Amino acid sequence: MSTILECKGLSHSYGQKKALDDISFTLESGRITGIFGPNGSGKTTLIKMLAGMIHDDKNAVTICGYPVGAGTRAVVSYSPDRVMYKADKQISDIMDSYEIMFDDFDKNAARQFLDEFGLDEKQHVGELSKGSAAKLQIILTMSRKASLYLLDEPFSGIDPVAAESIIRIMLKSIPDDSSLILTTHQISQVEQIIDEAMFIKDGRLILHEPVEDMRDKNGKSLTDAYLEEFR
Amino acid sequence: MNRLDRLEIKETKKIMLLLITLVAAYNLLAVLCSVLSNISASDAPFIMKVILMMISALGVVCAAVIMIARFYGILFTDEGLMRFSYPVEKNAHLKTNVKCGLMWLFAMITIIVAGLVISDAVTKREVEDWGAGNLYRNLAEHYAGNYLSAPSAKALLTVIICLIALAVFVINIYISFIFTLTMSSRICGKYNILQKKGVIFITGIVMFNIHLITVEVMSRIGAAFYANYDWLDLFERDGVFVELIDRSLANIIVYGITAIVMYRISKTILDKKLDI
Amino acid sequence: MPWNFDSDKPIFVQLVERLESDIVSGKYSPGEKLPTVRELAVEAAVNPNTMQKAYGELERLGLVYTQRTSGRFVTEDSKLIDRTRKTLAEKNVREFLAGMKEIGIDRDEAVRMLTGGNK
Repeated sequence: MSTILECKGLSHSYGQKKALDDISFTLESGRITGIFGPNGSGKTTLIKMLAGMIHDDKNAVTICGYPVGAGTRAVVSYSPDRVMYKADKQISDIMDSYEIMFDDFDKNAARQFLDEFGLDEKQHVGELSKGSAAKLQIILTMSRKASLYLLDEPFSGIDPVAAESIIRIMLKSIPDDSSLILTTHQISQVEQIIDEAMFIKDGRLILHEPVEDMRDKNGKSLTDAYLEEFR
Repeated sequence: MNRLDRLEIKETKKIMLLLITLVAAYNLLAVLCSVLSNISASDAPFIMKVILMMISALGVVCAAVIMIARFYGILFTDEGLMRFSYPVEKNAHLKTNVKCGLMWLFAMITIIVAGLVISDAVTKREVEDWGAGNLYRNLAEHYAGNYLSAPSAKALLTVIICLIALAVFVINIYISFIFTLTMSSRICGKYNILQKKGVIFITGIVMFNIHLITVEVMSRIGAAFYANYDWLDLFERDGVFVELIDRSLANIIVYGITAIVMYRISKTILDKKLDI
Repeated sequence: MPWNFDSDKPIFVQLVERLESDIVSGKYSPGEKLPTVRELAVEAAVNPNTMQKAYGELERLGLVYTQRTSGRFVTEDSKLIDRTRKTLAEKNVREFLAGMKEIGIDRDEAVRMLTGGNK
């Protein structure tokens, strides 16, 4: 067990608007964490900063001990909240690109998943339904053997059956020592797969606890706790 | 060649090789027209040749537009922004785009220059005597006519330095576009402006005007300096040689330094200040 | 097929209950090899750490043992399994009676209903 991610006093503003306000937390290896909060609370900004896409000039975040940069990006696998592949690209094409960019990309594992979920390498992204495209994105993201997975709204606009598939892909692929952070509005769907929950409100971290503790102490589900907090 | 370069080439290979093929084809046809113009009495082949060369030059413009548009995509579209999650430094995207962009551009420019030289060499008509392709030959003759020592070597030197000046100029233009995009991105990020295309447009106009002024200033200074060749008699007996070399060197220095400055600034912006 | 869980009890507790129940009912026979933590976690759609904890608890109870290279196995101690069955049964009875009491049916009435009152 080691610390995969350490975040100390992370803040970020878009111009005058403060998106993240002094966020601090630690994430151990082998943990799955869910980040919950209303739209605009700063979840996506936080994820993007952990992914190294937004510049963190105070080095508030370290991943595996290193400040966020090209090195951490090599061990972090990020999936954005929308399907970000161009419609005219073939799946095989995208996989070739992943192979070039990421040493830890396991093409065979990806192929197996594509097979299992009825996706054909020769298909173009534009031909896929929304659910299939989302599955594709998760498959490719999880086929990297990364230390930290960041999934931003993996279930957005996805039907429950596809969501089950995505959860299955996640649980099957995640290496033992790796950690995963996901953001979602589908709290009840992920409650049983996460170790810890974080609530973000107006850019501030207002809760960070193991889910089982919350059930133990309060006798209520995560969904109930969320509704109480954010109603 | 690093990963990002390989990816960039893989993604641009198809369209660029197509453009290169077209440029080469048009140049080939232009050479054929030159040959034809030797045989035919009419001016048509010659006119055809000029048109073909102009169309092939469009290929270079297309390639530049495509590569610059790719950079726009990286900075301003969501799909492009994803590239910043790659395991490379942020400024690597700048480096790769400039490297690959210039590579494709110069591949095409080389073909066009070769086309010019070959077609002019092949033509026997008077009208081609001072064509760009004949620059070397004409300079050599001119220098020899003015009793310069080693006229062929000096002609070669002149041509080489002129070509380098042209190359530096092309590099400067390309980097100017890239610089415009990074500057616009920085401005939009810092002042939280949502009208990104507006900012790009305005920055572009500013850059364009700076360029016009620079070209004009350089041109006038050069012209004034070399308006009178008399004082050159002290050094060499040919004003054209000195002028071409000096002005080319001046261009190389001015455009070269500004290109480097624009590149360094873009690099810094990407590394530190770019907010997504 | 993901397993269903109640929203008020910790998942870990519910996993232990379910696995105990599966062993006692014979779904996993004595001495049978159990699925790995990950396999079962994927099937149940639960966090692997939670599944790991549940297996750990079963081991602590003695219902399951680990053979380092080959995996986890159900105990062959049939007496233990019987004792566990009895404990679970008693718990079910207690819960049933408590539920009946809540709707105003006392113990004797409940027993009557069970043994033949439903005609």
